[in-house]
Amino acid sequence: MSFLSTQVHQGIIPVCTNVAPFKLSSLPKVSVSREGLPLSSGVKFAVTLPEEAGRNLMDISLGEKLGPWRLSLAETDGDPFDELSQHRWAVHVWIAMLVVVTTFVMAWVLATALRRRLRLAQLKNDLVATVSHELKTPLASIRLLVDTLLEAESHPTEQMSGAQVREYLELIAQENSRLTRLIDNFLTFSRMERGMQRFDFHVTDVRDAIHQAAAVFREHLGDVDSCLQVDAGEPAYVSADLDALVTAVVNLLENAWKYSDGEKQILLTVHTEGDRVHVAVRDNGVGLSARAAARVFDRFYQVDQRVARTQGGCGLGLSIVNAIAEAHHGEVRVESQPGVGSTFTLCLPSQRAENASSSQPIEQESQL
Amino acid sequence: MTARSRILIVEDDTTLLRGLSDNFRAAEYDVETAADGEAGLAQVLAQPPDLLLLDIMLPLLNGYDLCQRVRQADLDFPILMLTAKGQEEEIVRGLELGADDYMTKPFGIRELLARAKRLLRRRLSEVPDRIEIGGAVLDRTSHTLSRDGDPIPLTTKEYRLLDFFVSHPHRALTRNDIMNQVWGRSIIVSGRSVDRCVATLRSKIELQPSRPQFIHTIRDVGYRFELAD
Repeated sequence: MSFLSTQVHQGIIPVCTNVAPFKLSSLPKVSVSREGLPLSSGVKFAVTLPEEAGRNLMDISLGEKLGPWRLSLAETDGDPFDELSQHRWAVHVWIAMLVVVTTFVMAWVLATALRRRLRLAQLKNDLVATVSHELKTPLASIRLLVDTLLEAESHPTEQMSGAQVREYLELIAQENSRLTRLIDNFLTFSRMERGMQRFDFHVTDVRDAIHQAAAVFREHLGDVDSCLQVDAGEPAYVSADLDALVTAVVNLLENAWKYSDGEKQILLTVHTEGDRVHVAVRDNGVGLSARAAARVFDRFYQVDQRVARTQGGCGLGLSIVNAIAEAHHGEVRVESQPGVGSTFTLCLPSQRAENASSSQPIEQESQL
Repeated sequence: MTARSRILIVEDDTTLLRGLSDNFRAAEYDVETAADGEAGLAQVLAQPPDLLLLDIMLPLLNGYDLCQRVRQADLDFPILMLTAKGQEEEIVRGLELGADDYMTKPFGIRELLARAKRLLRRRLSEVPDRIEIGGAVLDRTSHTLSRDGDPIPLTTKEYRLLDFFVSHPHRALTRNDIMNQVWGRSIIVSGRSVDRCVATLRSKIELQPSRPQFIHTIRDVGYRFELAD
């Protein structure tokens, strides 16, 4: 019996099984407390009847000398391994969830990278298509007109009139300036894309920029005085790269010109609102739908291919304006109504007039 | 007095359109113009021209769609594409949609006028039964080719290819066009089969197969058969 008591102290219950020769009443009344035993909850000791031996967790013979006596470890109240199995199940669920989440995150990262690459490839294709079309068309016109003039020169029978020759030369000059503008825009765009565009900021009166821009615009398009109205208003100072600001305003003016039909009316104004200087270009053109307005500053975006083809351009002008505005810590906004017209407003942080009197470059140099 | 050929130019660039119109008028063609694809198609359907000069990047309806709609309407006048793209796949696409030839911008006006003239002549003349190709004579009734009276043996495919070439002179022909017309829609024929057949045909009709006079290769596009006027 000392052996049995030792086993009981170690947490193992002696259970009588196969006790057919004994009467139930002859079984010893053994009651073992869990206290002091290193057992998990949900387990209790009990002497079980022989017919309950099937529920025992362990059941071993005690040898020949003890005959039918068997030593069994029994549980009577639930599964003592429940907690462990629940714990393991939880671990498995967490691991599975982690794998699923990781897979989704990786897929999202890959999809984003792929989308970016596709967008870049698309951009590259757009650039190639636009460059080839927009540069080759004026080149084709110039070559055709020059060939025609040369042909007429070498064949006296096909002489052209002086007026026709002059008209051809004017057309060639127009195509030439169209090419020059396209190339300037491409170069500006390319510098901005590569982060090579440098801005030298000085405190500048915006009125200087808009007068210069109006002059450039007149030079590009000839007689525009009938449609362009400039209202420079009061002096308004901003910290700006004058050349970049002129480019931005010229692009806005040319955009207004391109997208206006019939009797064009373009109004260029400057006014100050709070700490912001607004340079606004309003036209009476075709206007923009809300969807088009949301995309109008995207690279290569052209609202109307027909206009783009006939007036030239490659969808870079407004994206350049946007980039210049951002480099000046400002923004460009568009308000538009289809069929009525659009107003593009360049908003820049204003500066005090006294900063301008020093005429020194201010300590702010930005690189896109 | 023969009627002047009518040419329709569909081009959205006003300067180019002006230059082209002046040159074709100076070459004594009747010239009509359209500045976008839809206007071009309407004019074509209202009164089909003898030749269509067609830009590809057009507003409203692009050149490919216009070309396709013209052919779907069973109109078979020659179409000469003017393309600024110059990429082979774009050219092949245009030719397979029914264009007869193409020129890449910027182009020389003399070359363009010569191509237009050849395309118009092809339209005006039926293919004769006996055609002289260099020193060789192709007899389309007896399906034979001979040089100085000596027969030049041709396989069935070589004959059909030569016959296809002589009945489509001065046209840019894609390998697909040739395969479909000469081989039929066989799945075991590839562009290489066309190239091999062209090579053997050249060895039989060209005096210098390495410098062909009749069957010209258009790189990445196909072939053009040129026959002296």
